[in-house]
Amino acid sequence: MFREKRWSPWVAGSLLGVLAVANYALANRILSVSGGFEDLASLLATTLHLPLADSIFFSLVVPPQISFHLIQFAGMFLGALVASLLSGDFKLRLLPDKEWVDNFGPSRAKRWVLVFMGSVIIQFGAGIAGGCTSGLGISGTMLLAPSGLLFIVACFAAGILVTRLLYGRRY
Amino acid sequence: MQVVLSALALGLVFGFLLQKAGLTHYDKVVNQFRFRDFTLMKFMLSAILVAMVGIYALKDLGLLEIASLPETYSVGNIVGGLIFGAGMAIAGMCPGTVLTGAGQGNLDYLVAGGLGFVTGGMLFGATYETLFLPLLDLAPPEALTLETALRVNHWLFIAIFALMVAVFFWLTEIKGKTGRTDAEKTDA
Repeated sequence: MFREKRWSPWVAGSLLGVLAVANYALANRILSVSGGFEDLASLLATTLHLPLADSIFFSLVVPPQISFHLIQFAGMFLGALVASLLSGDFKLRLLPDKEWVDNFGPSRAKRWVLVFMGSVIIQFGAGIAGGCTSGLGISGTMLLAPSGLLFIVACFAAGILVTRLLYGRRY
Repeated sequence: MQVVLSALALGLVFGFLLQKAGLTHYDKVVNQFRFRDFTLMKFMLSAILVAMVGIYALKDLGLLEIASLPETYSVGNIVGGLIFGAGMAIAGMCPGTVLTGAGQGNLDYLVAGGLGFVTGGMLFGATYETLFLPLLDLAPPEALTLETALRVNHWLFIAIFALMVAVFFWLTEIKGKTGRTDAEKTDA
């Protein structure tokens, strides 16, 4: 089972749901990820002595520290490493295996620039929204918080629209 | 130490499941937005439904309290969600899958994605006072649930949600002859 490349998303998703319940019941925490990148940004701003480190946000709201999130990040990286090594899905990739080259061509520079830009936009959006796919989309909605539902609907609407624009006639 | 171990264990399981579902691959995300592969929706909806039933059942049994709750501030939740979705369509990832994609060897996720997410965090921090706080004035944050906002029992919403998931399951798994789209089939 652990050697299978793909688990049914219904099974994997349900197990994540069990994890979310256990995490909430035992530690009163919601599953979330994007906050960890704010911790990283704060650590980096402080380490590099950027003036930004003295801002209200990075001194009071998200002070630099090795947070719960950052240890969780290490776990997530390792979890995916183990899962992909067991199934043979691990591979050093400079470009995605599927879809990208067909639509955007084989340029690595193009992919990496677009990933960088997309990532900046994602994390900025997560800051504005107050969470990400896990922290708001899954965790908010499981608690019946309106924020989670608003986020999912907005995220999918923009995702579909921008994909249509990027793929054009290939959509 | 216990906190370190629980954070590590939580991350391990989370990362393992995201990788096994295949969401660490660009095509799984972008093909959801193209309606060619429903893995992302299946994964999210099943996680939400199981967690929703589990949490509210434990709450009704008195074993748990709804204490930490992602705040609702409609303008920010929606505007942020729109920005987030646009970025997700461009890069084909989200904060959870950039880490787990890097874990399965995707160097574009590790380097370009890692730099981008940290830069995005800095950008948010840099604009926090000038942009985010004024935005909060438009719709101040409240710790709401549909139950407290609308004064209707939580099981009504859970039942509606379960029904939606059942319809989605029927459409994607039973109505189609094989239950899977072409994009999902070629992934096996």
